[in-house]
Amino acid sequence: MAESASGYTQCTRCGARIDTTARFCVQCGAAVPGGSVGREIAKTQRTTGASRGQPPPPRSGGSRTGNTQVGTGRAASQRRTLQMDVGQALNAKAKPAPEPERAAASMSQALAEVTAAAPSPAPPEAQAAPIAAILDDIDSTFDNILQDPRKVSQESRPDDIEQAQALFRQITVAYIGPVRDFMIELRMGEPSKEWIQVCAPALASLGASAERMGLAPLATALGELRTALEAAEAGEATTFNESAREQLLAASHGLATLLPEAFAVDEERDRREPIIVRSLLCQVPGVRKVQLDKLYRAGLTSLSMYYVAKPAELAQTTGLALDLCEQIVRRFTRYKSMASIPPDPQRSNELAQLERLAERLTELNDAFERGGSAGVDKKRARQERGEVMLEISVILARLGEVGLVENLERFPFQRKVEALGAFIKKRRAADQTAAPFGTTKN
Amino acid sequence: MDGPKGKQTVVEEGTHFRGSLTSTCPIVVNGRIEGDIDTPGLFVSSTGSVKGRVKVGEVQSQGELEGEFDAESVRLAGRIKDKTVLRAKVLEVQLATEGSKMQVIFGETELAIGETPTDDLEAQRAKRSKKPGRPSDAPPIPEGTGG
Amino acid sequence: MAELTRDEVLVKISRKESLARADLSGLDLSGCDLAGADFRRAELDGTNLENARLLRADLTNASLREAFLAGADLTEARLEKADLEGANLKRAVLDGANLDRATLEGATLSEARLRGARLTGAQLDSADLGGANLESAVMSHAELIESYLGGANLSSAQLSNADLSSANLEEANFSGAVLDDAELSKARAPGAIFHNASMTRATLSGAQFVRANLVGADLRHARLESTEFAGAMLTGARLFGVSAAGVRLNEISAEWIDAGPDGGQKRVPGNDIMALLEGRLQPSATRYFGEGDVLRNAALEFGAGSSVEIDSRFENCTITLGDGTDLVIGHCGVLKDCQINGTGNVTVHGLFFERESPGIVGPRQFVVSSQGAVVGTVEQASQNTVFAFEPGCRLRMRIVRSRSQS
Repeated sequence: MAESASGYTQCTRCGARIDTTARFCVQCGAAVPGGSVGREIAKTQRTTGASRGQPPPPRSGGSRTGNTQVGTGRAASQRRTLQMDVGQALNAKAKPAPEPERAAASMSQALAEVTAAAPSPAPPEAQAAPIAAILDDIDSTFDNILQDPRKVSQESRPDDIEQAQALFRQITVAYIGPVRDFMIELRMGEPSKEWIQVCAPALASLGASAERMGLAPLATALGELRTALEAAEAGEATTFNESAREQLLAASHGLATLLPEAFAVDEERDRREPIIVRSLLCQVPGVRKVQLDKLYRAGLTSLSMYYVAKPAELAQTTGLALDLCEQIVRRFTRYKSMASIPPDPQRSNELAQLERLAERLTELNDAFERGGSAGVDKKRARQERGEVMLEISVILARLGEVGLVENLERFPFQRKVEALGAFIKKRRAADQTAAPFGTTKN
Repeated sequence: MDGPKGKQTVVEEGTHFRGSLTSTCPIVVNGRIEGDIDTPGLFVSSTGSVKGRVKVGEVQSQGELEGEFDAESVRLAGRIKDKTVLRAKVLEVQLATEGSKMQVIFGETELAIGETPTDDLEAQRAKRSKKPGRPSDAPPIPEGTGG
Repeated sequence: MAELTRDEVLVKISRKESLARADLSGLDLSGCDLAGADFRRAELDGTNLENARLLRADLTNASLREAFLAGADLTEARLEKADLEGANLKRAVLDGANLDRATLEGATLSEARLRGARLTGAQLDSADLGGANLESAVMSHAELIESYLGGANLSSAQLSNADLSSANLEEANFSGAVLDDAELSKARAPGAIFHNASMTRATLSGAQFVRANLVGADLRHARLESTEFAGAMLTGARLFGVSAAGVRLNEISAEWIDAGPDGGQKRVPGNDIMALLEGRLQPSATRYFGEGDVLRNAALEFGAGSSVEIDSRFENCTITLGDGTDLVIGHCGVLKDCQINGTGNVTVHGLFFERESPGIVGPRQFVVSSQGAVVGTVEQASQNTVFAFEPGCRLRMRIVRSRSQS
């Protein structure tokens, strides 16, 4: 495990940067050796009522602190520190994690994935009772921290708080996905103001929780971004003006410093954008290698450039025919309209599109394989297959699945279809098991 | 230009040799030679120039020639300067489009190539079946044809 | 499914064991060193060979459908009759490889290197060869219908009898390539370069050669019906015997074209190109003076662009040539005590003796063939005469400058 002096380390599976005290990788869900956790931690999350995109149902008698619900009435058990290696105690083995590109939809999901398939030998009877007590203790400690930090500071050791804070940071990284997606969209194009409805509540609840956790810098950074978002809402325009854009980008710098693992948006954009740009260009009839070379040589490599490009200027700069440039600009305008609409947290629209495209790909591939014998125009089928793959690449790149795009390029078509199907299925399953994390407005 | 193989004397670009040069090896001229030359082969590159009296077996030139040349065979491109006499058994100048590197630009030149022609076509056809004479046998240009 | 694992394959390779006929489909062999390996008739469908070393590997008759060979090194590999339909060979190196009769239908070879590769009879329909380097490749009889060769380098490539109908050749470089008898109907070649290419008897019907460079291209006997040449460069192109009904020539650039059948040039000025290609300008009939005839003390004048051949004996005659007239002194021709004036093209296969100096004045081109002999003085044209002498010619000749230059 590569360690750095700054307190961060690197996931051995996907290479994501994670806190040295982390129990699992927030990007791929891989368990961190020495920090693996059992299913019982998931219980902690469910107990806290963390949700993604929806507020948890109210619980009577429980205090409602923003988006988290804290269980009450637990009997306090013997005090133990959160440093206990529950994984070791349960002899749980970490199984290979799923696709590295996708952050765990929820901590419970990540944990479930880590432990689900691995044959975990049942703990010996003799260990069961003390272990259960330990896990109860973890739950209650965490609950207490969230409920009343002052109580924690009095009753818990400093490293308990540190552990809880680290855990909270990981939760934040996992659930700040929509905000990250928004920042990427902001760098790539012109997202609509509807994103505010998605991001502001997440920022509010996370900010409040961070404050209660004693993570003042994080709380401040979340608050600044939220303030910038709400300020940007003013005005009749449906998209953000240049000034608002700059303020949002500036406000995100604090978060980027505090949560680099979640906010490496520039790197993420640099991974996604070339695929999107190239795929959109190749969807324009008449754009092939010669035209791509001319466009790239003219420096036209980013979405934002195509959004503002005028056909006549494009033609003059690149030497391409005017009608071709008009088609290129139209294609990017269509994409811009589509991309400006914020996706739902489960990205259900995109998944639905992927499903339709995967079906179409299957049909075309079957037609191609049947070939001339069934009176099918193989050339046409081959061409259409290619066009469908371009559309799929755009959607996958938007979802951040750059690795999958690269892998699909390597696969024969039958395997492409299978890999897509597997991805969609897994993604749907992950979204279904995801526990909600509050995003309601205060 | 097919250069010579094996040992050769090279007058490199930027070198100006003035005098008499005799060699049993072919001479490659990338620079300039002025004087008398006696060699089995003379290869003048596009940057080379030769001025003087040259007695040679084979001449291949893409550069400049000026003076008097007695050779077995001559292959020309490049430039032939004024007051140049070429005597040879065989001469080859390829047809080239304007501006190509194989084009030859002739100044005031005398050419004495192969046997002396006569207007008796039949006799010539019979004679052509025999070996052609040496360049030294070539008589001078007939009077009344001065340029 | 593959019958061997990657490691097992590598072990066999290290032991120099043959993998002929092995089923390795779908295997990941990316980055492996498989140089010289024997994969004859092996099943490699869908196999990942990205960046693999396959120098001089034998893949004859192997099946590599939809295999991923991006960046693979297949230098001098044997791929005769291999099936690479739909394979991805982006940026692969295939210099000197043998792909005779291979199937590459729908394959991706963009930016691949195939210098000197053999693709005789290969099937490349709908293949993507954008930006590929096919310099000096041998592709005669290859099928490239609807293929994409945009920006590809095919200089000095051999494409005789290849089928490039409906192919996209935009900005490709075919300099010095041989496309004799090739099929290029409905091909699109905007901005392509065919400088000095040989395209005799090629079919370009309905093709688009907008802004193409055809300088010095040999299109003799080519079919140019309805071919679009708008903005093309055609200086020095050889167009003897073309059929060009419906050809479009607006805004072409051509100082002259060569309408000669073979051997020496027969230049036709730019203004007459349209007429020639559209069939309105008929090449002038050759005036012929046959063997055995004798003409004495005559002055003959031949109009511009005409063609004269003399196998007779002319004595004390003066011949005046119009601009661009071709005068050929045939093998049996003898011009004794004669004079030739004018800016024509003179070719001597017979004998010429001047009456007085200079005996030949102002020719644009002066050629003495291996059978020819000249005794006399040639006064060059004002813009320097183009000379050519074949080995075997006999000369007692002076060359002097044009009086306008002196």
